[in-house]
Amino acid sequence: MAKKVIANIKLQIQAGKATPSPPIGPALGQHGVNIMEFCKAYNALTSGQEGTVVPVIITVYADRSFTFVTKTPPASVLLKQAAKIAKGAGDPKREKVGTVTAKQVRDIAELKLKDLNAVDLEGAVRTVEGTARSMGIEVVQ
Amino acid sequence: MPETREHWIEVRVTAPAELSDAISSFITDLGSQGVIQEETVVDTFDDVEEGETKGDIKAYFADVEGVSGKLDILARYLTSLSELFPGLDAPVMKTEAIADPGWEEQWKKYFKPLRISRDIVIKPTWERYAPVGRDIVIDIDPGMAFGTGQHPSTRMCINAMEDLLPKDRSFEKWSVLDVGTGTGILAITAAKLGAHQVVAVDLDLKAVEIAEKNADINRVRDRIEILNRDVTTFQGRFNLIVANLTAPTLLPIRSHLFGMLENGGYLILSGIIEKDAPLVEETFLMQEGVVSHQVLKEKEWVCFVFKKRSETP
Repeated sequence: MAKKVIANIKLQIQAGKATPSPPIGPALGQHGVNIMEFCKAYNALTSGQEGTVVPVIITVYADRSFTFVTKTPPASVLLKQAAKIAKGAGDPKREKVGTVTAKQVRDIAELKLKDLNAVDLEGAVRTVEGTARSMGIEVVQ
Repeated sequence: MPETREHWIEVRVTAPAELSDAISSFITDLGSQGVIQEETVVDTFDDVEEGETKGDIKAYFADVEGVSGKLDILARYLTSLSELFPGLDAPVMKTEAIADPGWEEQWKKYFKPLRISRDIVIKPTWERYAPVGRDIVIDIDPGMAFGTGQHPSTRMCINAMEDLLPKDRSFEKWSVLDVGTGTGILAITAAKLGAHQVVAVDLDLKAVEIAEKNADINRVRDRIEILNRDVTTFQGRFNLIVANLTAPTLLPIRSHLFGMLENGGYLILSGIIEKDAPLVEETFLMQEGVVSHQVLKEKEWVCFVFKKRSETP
């Protein structure tokens, strides 16, 4: 019999650096997940990718056992890497902090196609372009 | 309840899904340790909070000096986004000051006595359990340390020890080293399985205190020495070494571990995720006089038992 799922929790956290403090503590604590066990598993799985945000989706069952899957880094992180910037703009309406090429956007869209909720590559490209604008990153040809 | 409750500002941003990634990234760059994206609550169940709607992003900032400046920066960013995308709903930010209610403790109400093998039962100190037959009951109060028997890596170590300690007659008296003892669960299990002498080390002073307490509760304190040490600064001779760590921490200490192992002794390595298993196996087997004795697997976790040959050829 399939176990009853009580929650799916999506976290964006630093690879190899999970600790019981927020956001992991409150996110998992309220569902009765053994936080130390999650941290050990997540850190083991993401070791070697330190310095990158590796999103994780945790499924919690009624008996409080859990499984999780890690995802590719978010488009925002890949955009920062492509634009070679540490941070996005604080005022993206008026401030541009970097540029990426249309080709780079397309590459990111291809990589993220599965996770982006987009119907096709064109949709994914538009989503990544939107994220770039939201971060003050200009897309150039 | 922890003695010192930490204070946090919980930030909740409700925004269209299109903006969620950029906002999460901005919040992380501001110094939050990460974000929770509340998108999918699949079932309505009593303890799933009401009102967890699509597109909410939650993050936490330590409530210290300078936090209000960060919140202002975030508010200005969200305003800029709403100007940039006038066609989308404007993001809404709410903040709330909260104190740590003991998040790490909340899972404990679901920690129940757990049978690890035919004869071994792990039991939280606050639960009742009536042993049956030849049950060996290990009492654990985990505090903030790792090792409750719920994790496959711990269970496999216990299973591996159970196959050796009471059964393998190559040693009259077993001396055991537990590297990274955490709650002390493996050291205590070794003692309860008949080990003559156990040394447990941990880098974390808190873990050492918790392990000492657990050794007392299990009445094996006279056979366990618990040290707040880095294992590489420690020397001794053992016929069983158990290390439930991770691949990156195990690889650099391999020569040191084998150096402390008697001829004919065993090394149990655990906490190794499947993807790292081939490298760990290959690297450890490169040590002279070492053979593979057993490989255990549970879910995505692997546990190796290596043996040092009785006589080096």
